[in-house]
Amino acid sequence: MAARSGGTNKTGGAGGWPARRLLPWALPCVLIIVWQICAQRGWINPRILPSPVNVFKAFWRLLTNGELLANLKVSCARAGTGFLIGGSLGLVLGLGTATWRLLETVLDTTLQMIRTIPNLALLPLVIIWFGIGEKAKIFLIVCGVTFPIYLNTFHGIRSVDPNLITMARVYGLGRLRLWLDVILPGALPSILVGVRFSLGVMWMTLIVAETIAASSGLGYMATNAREMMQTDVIVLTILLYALLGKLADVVARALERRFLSWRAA
Amino acid sequence: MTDRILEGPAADGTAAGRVASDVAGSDRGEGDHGGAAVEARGLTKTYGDLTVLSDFSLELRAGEFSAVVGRSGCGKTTLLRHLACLESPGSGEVLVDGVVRTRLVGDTRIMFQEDRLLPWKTVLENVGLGLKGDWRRTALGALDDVGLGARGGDWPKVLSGGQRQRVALARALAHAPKFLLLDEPMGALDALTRIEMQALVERVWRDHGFTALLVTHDVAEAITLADRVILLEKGRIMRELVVDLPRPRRRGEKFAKMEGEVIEWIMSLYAGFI
Repeated sequence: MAARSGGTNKTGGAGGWPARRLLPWALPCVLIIVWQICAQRGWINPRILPSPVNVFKAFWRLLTNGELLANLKVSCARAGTGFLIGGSLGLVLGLGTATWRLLETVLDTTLQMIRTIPNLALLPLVIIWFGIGEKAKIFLIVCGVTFPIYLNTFHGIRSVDPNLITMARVYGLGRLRLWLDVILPGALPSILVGVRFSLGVMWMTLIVAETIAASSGLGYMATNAREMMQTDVIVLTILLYALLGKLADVVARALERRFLSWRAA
Repeated sequence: MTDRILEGPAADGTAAGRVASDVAGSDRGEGDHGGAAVEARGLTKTYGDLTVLSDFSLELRAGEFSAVVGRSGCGKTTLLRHLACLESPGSGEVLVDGVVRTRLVGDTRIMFQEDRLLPWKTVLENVGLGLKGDWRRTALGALDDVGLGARGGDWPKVLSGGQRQRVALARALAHAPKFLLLDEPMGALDALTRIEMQALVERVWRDHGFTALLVTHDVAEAITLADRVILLEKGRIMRELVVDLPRPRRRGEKFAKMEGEVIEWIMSLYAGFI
């Protein structure tokens, strides 16, 4: 009951929620308006930085000719595949090493060493191994995404209160229920921190990989545009990256709201 | 958050739920009455050079309320863990209703010093932990029993310390234990909440008739609740006091005399050091 009234307070509170929701977007809007004014007055050379209106025109052109969506799809597929593989790998490794001491002894030192290598340092090697095909990009994303999730899963499980585990034993929870009701929920806050961090790594890796070695995708679109001096397209891709990054963050936050609501109470 | 609440007691009233719960309820009925006779025979436990229990024997009659008092480090908690069969002794054995036990069984439950509620489960889900069948109904009954039936949909975080400990008691009661071990469950509560909690423990013990063993270092609490107060020192029973005051017990002359006596015993243990 208390929780429910808390929810209604939020919507009926001082200032109202629409204002609260819109306020964060005020600064980006002002920046775009100022930028447009500067461009219109001729204070900025359009070859260096095109006006927002021109960027929007480029957006419309690429949207209507299908180029944008095709590239966006390719990029998202790479990001998603890499994240799924890397995330699962990190999760399984984290669960394994946190559960079996032997596995930890065998794996942890190695994983900690590999972890310190920036995944993008592998780029030249990866191009030799895989060329510029899909595998190269996915491999790099997997390398980047695995470790944050691994570390946070391991840490999350290890920091579950042992008193709760004893309690669960006393109250007759079997192995499966112990995992589902106690260990995983206890580790989840930490795992989600790993997920959020990984999403950031995912985009960064994808952008770099696509910019340097690709024949499709958003990064390729930007590189291609550079060769033809289409600054409007370059700016457009940068803005798209910002939006996609924000989108990933929104997803991560939604996951936290859904699964960690017990912490907010 | 709202959908969590909807999952709570409100969702319980379905016809299918009731049928299932009737079956579970009749199962539970017998276990709900009476306690188990518990016996420890020659329990010995050493950790390295340290002897925590030495040839410890104790008999708890069915439905009896006993309290173990003693200084910290006297082996109280170790004894409790052994009686619950959470730990196995170096030698000796624990018998419940005349049968040797080697592992914790469903008719034995522990209430800990901390509430140990799972913060990510609602109050009702916490009480229903480890229950089979229609756990909602059983859990709700136990919550009602401790006067928190309306709080089932809340997160443990929003409750006070005393309320959380009551939820922990409900969680133990939901399993209809025949043997309930209380490991200083009131130790962390403030004085007024503690009195309230003691009255609640006494009432549910009288209602359900389980065998109870309370570990505490509060002598007044032991005398308020127990039929028998046991003084533990160096892993063995030093003294025993039968408390034959009528319940519910009020502090009076006889109460004070008994309390004084037990404190005297404890002080005599220190005599060598002071």
